[in-house]
Amino acid sequence: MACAEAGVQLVSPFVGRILDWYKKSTGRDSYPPAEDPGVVSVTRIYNYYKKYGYKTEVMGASFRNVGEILELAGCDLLTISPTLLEEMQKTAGTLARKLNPETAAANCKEPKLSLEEKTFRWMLNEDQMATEKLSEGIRLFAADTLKLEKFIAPKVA
Amino acid sequence: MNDLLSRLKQFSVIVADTGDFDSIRKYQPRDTTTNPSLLLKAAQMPEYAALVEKALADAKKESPNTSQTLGTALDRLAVAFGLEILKIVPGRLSVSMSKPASPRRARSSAVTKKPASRANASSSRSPRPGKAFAPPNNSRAKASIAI
Repeated sequence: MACAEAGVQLVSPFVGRILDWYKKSTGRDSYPPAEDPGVVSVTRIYNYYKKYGYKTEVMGASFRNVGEILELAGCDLLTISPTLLEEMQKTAGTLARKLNPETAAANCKEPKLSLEEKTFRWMLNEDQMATEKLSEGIRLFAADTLKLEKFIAPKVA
Repeated sequence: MNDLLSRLKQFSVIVADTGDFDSIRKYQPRDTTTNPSLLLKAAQMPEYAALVEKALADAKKESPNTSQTLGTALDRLAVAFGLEILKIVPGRLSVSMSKPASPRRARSSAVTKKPASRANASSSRSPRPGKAFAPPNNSRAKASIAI
């Protein structure tokens, strides 16, 4: 919501990382694609953006299986690992569009919110998954940047 | 084509989540996303060793003193991979260039007065005209957060 209001070009919610968190916290070992918490989150963002006319693009990311991807067919963009791209290329089948600007308004029940920083931080803090996965994500990317630095350090010494 | 990837391309723009050029060529996505983890993986692949060596050599030439070489090299590396990917995809590329801000780093950065310019940024190129979801023409250097 805050990104859309700020006129950001694109947001990239991480479907699989949201699923990981829910699996760990509930002890469930699988979710059907339509109930997958990551899929539900992206669907919610997409419908909200389209209903209220935001131009910010939604790019679903971090997929754990093809089922999650197909459940988001119609999302503005989907960024997919080579392994899952290959699996989809090798699988014949039909596909129904799930996300659609035409049906987004009817499928979004949320009121339009305007977020100032205080509300944004409060809402982020209230969402345990978002708080934990956001900080973890930044830590992991930072750790990989350090590994890359160590990998190239001897080469530029 | 009746495979799922071809069908999905009718509804959504497909983006490749990888730093591996061969994969990008194979699946013909419109855009590509990279991140520090993907860059780390690609930089260690033997087939890209020459690209890495060249980027690091450029960084060495460019840096006035050795304390800055490593930071410049990280940027150069991300840009070198990005440029190669943009030769393959018709659309946009995202690359993270964030520098971890540990206390040690913060101090060294204060001493050298190195500008804190290496925030998360992405370089992008407009997709072919007429494509669905084509971003506005001024989208060449939008900031992005992709974690």
